[in-house]
Amino acid sequence: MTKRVQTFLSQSEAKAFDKQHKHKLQFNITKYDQTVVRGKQQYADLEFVKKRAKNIKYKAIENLDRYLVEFETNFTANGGKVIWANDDKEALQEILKIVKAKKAKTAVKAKSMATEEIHLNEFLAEHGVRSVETDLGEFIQQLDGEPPYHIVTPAMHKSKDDVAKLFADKLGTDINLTAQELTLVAREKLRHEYVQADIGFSGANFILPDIGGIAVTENEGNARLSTSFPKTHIVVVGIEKMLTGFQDLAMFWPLLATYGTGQKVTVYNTVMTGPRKENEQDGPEEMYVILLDNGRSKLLADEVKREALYCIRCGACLNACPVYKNIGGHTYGTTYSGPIGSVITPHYKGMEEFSHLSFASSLCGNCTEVCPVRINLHNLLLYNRHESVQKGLTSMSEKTAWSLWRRAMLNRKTMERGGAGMKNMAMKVLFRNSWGKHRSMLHFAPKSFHERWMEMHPEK
Amino acid sequence: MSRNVSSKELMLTNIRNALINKSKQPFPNLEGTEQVYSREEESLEVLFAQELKAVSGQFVFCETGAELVEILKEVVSIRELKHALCPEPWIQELLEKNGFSDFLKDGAVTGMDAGIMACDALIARTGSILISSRLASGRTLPVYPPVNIVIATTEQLVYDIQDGFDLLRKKYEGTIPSMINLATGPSRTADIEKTLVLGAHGPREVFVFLLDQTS
Repeated sequence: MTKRVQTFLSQSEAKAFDKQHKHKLQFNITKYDQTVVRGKQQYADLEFVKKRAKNIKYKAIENLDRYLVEFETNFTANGGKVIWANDDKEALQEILKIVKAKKAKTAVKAKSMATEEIHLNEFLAEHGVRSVETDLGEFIQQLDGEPPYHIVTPAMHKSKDDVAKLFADKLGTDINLTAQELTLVAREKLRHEYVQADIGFSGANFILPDIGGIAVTENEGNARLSTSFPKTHIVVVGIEKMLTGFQDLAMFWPLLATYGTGQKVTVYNTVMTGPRKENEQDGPEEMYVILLDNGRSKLLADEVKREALYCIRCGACLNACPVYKNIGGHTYGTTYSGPIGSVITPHYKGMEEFSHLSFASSLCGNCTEVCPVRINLHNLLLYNRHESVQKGLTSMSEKTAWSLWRRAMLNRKTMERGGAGMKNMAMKVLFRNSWGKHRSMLHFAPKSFHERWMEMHPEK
Repeated sequence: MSRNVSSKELMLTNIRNALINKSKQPFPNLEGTEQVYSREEESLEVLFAQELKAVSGQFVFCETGAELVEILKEVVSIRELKHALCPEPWIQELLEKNGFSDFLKDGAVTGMDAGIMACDALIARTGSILISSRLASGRTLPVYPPVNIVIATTEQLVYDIQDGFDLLRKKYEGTIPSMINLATGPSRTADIEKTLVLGAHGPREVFVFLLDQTS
């Protein structure tokens, strides 16, 4: 068992039995569930939309090379610059070049999981750039020195009182501030940052090849501000965020809002196609889009698991997952948590280190049920398990146990050799560790069904 | 630069190799023009007003420019707004002719209480305002001042986002604006305990004045 698996198991256990943690998570997810019902009411035929959305993502991913080139051509024609980054190091080095060329000292950053993935903030700090998270949830997490807990709701695990205490400690505000007042503190603090920052960073929810643009969805307006004031705008985006064109947004914006936050449409949906044009008032002088692979093409190579790249990062599968609801976001030890994280992380970061996440599932299928682009998430977890077994990543004791189990099951004589006592003993020996200490062991009846049947029908 | 070219080639090669095995289209026979959204029987004006209100925006229907001026004066006085920017020429002219000269200032967007602006389209189904950086208000004015006032005309009102995109396409044919934004109500957050707070970073209040073009 690797150290990572041990940590995962011990943290899972700690979180699953932490009542306070569970209470906060339940509170948040219950509210989410209530609003999603309202968001869905806008649809007359939601299933049709989900199917169409999956077809569109299929087309975008299946022709990814062509669309990426088309995007580059059009975005360059708009005056933007495209950077191709095969991994996190390449992305960071390219960012460093821009930072140095601009002699940048400060940056404002809109919420972005791709920048979390490459650990941008730490890197910028090492190179003397102060990078400020501007999304309220991310701002809270940055103050606390923690990574986001959830891909849509970064501070989901903190109560209002936790945030008030954090602000009091770090910013010297009153410990009794309300949610309204705390938001105002962040608002006032960040207003000044947008105006003076050298660089604005953002991610992107979608890439639009036909017009050479990217799209960003948010509620707070911090991404709008972060991409309007600074002279340089840098976008870091995973290549799988591709759509087939601008017109797809009319369907994907409401769909993302419905499943992300239960809104009909998110407050700010912004398309950016390049730096400020000559006949425009304001906006950045330069815009860069960093196209990040970082393991995605490895997942792409598997034609069955490929559909995990259709994900639009709405977070619905996290909120629906009984495992996530018990162990919480940080326990996964990955940038992307929940079912989608368990599916993609082993491919992005290595099956050896992360295959255990695919086993940490009850396979209840709720993730698949709620996915707006109908990714067969729980099936993909099974495929991951299969791959991990094929690669021989399971422990020797488990391999032995299953091989003995198989031998017994394939032959009635072996299966019924010895009584229930022997079978109970064998179970204990074989599955002692893997069965789980909170689950009671199987208990065999004194006689098997077959034995009783034979007794009742002696003539046969 | 040469390194970058090879990064591009490397990525594209990886992707092309990965895509040698095609996957099946998920829903091959899914074609149709079904009505995917639940459509209310209301007129576009009523629908827009309802939807904007549902996202905490404020809607004002004006039959004439004079009516618009009158109601705007009330808003300015009740909200105690001191300065606003209004770079859109036709709106500026209307307001300056009607006693707003002292209220409308030149100056940095950061010092303004309100931004007054035009839009490219209004979306009735969602209560949204579609704008672009090509408008005189640019990128910062719609989102920095605490109050956002949009003046639109009835011919700009369309049913869905798709229809708004069509208007944009016609208007800016050939040269796409550097930014296009669909804004739906005031800025909001629910990042602290899912408590809804308006005015997270963008405007706390959004007004839409819809000017009847038919009269």
